[in-house]
Amino acid sequence: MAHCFCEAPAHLSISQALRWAQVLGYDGSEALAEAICATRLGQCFENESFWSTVVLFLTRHPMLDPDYIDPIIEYFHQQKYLLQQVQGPDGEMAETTPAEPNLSLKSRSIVKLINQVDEWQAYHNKVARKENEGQLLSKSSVSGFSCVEKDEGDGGQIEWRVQQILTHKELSAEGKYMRHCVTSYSSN
Amino acid sequence: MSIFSLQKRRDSGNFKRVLTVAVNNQSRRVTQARAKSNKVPWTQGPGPWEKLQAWAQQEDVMLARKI
Repeated sequence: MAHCFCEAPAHLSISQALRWAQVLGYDGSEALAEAICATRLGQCFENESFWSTVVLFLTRHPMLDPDYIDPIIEYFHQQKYLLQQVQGPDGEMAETTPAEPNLSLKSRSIVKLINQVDEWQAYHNKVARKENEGQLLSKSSVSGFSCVEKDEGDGGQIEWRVQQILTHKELSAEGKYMRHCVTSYSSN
Repeated sequence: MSIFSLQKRRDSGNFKRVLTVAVNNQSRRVTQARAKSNKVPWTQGPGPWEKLQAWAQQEDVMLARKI
């Protein structure tokens, strides 16, 4: 490994060069080493007893698409180390233990892991989209409007209002109900 | 650009969307106004078009010649 460290590409930081040497020392490819160095493992060596097993595991699957390296590492990090946020009965957010603090790579199948990572990414993309839907659009300097009038026909009351659409979700609902493409303003 | 919704309700029922209105905030001009399925506002009877004009007057917003 010391020999690999000395031959690490010049653009790598010292911690990345150490990680590079570790991957090559485990008989991993340079492509895998590059991919791992670009993840959080290229920056720190905290919880190394676990992460070294991850590096070893990855070197044993040379046909794995390098695009999966970062998602796999983020998935492990989130499941094993990240405290989960849960909403208490009073509505306050509280932190609890990570989802799988005892997660290990013992007898883990790469195919099953890829499926888990895919599901995890799909879930987070959905959450991100939901959050985006609730995000506010810029408030206009033009205000709304309201008025009430009497229906000359039946004497009933008609109320009119003009309201700015302030969230992506409302904009999407407007476009859907009105059957036009106002949703395209969502990116503005 | 900001998007507004002109809505109407009868006798405290639920508000229903009638027009969608696009306003250019810089020029304070209504650039687009469309009813359901992209119909022009004046095809919806006098109510929506009058209310759009009343709102524009209240807010000192111009209605583009072609909306």
